[in-house]
Amino acid sequence: MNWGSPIFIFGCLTAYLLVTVWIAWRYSTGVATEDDYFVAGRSVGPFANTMSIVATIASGGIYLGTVGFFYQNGVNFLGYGYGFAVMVFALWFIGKRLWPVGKKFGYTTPQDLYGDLYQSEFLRLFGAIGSIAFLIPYFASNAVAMGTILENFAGIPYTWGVLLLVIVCTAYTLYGGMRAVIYTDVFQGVVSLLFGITAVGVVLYAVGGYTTMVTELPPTVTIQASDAAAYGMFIGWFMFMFSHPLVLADRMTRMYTIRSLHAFRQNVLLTGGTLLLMTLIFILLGMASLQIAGPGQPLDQAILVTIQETAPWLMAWMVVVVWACGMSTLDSGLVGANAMLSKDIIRHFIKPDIGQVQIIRIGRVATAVFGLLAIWIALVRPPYVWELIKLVNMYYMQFLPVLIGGLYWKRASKLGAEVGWAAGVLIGIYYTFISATPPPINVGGPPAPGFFGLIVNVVLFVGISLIVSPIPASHRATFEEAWSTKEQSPT
Amino acid sequence: MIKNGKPTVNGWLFIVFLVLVFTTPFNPVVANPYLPIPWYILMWIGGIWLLNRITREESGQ
Repeated sequence: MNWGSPIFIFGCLTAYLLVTVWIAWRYSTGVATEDDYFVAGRSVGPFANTMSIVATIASGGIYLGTVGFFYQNGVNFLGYGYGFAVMVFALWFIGKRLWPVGKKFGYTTPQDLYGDLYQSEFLRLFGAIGSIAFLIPYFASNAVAMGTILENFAGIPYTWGVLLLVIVCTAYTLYGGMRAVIYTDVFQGVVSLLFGITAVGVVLYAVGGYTTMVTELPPTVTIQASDAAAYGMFIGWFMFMFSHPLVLADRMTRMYTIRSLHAFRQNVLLTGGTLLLMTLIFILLGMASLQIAGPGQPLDQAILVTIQETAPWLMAWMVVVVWACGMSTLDSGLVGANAMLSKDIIRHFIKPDIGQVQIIRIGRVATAVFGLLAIWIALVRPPYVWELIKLVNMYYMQFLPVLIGGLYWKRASKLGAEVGWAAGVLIGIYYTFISATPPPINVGGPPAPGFFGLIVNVVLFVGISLIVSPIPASHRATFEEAWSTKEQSPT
Repeated sequence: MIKNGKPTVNGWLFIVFLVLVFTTPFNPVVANPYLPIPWYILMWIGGIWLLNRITREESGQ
């Protein structure tokens, strides 16, 4: 049998899409309130929430790009994985305070918290506008990767691949909102992890096992370097991976969707275990790819060459996995963006008396519009839009002091949060596009501008907050009341 | 993790965990071709064990 034939690959993809659509339809019943539509009724169990977090983190390019980074840098890229290892602690400490206030005040977006806690319409409005502006090109980039891989391996024209992806994804997201997103994420996450485990087994067998592989690879990729450049890469990617699951608008909302704090505790532990498995898959696939495919491959091609050489029967599954990862990020982005548009902008600044039915209707229209925008970006590929993708993590990283400080520091102030956040974003933009020299504190590579912006952001946030008045105690007390309430739910 | 202004046992363990993570590239024990990945797995398992202790402590269980 020709496992790599375009018809076989397209057949597997069609079967995957049919199962996805069935799951979305099956689990999307009872969308009656905006909580149902934007945060799945705050009723999701720990396993589903875990798979949703992990599948959303795993964007379309992760099996190609991240494996490529490990292929190129070996164990020197481990800051990527250690970032997640520390992130799960922060997930617990942030989530255990975010979930109760989300439930008490009906929050569904990050800006709900920033705007209310700091009493800052600046953070609410500009946070939402910037988040939408950065999120749409980011999830549209998944459509580009999906269209390209389908064209290369199934012979389907690029345009048709993009249309197929975005139309299917938009349709089920529009219909079922966050419920459809989370339960399709479970399927997508399981498909991806099973592929990863199988692929690791196959390629490790092909290279003669772990010890043989390490013996034959050069020490530059098997022993962690400790010079300044290597440590800069370690810290830079650590911060990237530490911050984005906590603050990116499309994944932070998983701290609202869980059904109880007891379930959230299980969710955090399961997320830790699953991320260990996921990162281990990437490390081993990347290093084995160096031995099988040899040096000099384009980063996003190394794993494809490796799979074709060692296990062509996995190729169709690989294409399905790349699509699964892309869809899980695209659908979350669609819900995240439409929640910010309809709630943070329309309800707060345009039509405050808008009802739940209208909000859901607007959310559905926004999903369709953002889907069309994603198609336009993927088909036209305007060059300036791709510049925005470079900034997405830099932008969201700047919310980290605002989030952690707001939840845990009584001296946190509105002015400190606004000035620190705005300065961090502007510095990130400056060192990405305008400055010819790297930032004064330079960790190197893509994380460098955001990392330096974050340092300035923290200094300003803390410094200003120590000088000016903090959030009024009476206002903060309404949040502390929610945090101190013992929960509460059946196991 | 903090009680009466001082770290609890879990607080101290978390500090040790962070120190071990951030010193990994300099750690002479790991400077061997065979050990960075097993060390990485060990750190994760230790981290999840500690996370279990911390979340249990925080939940009052």
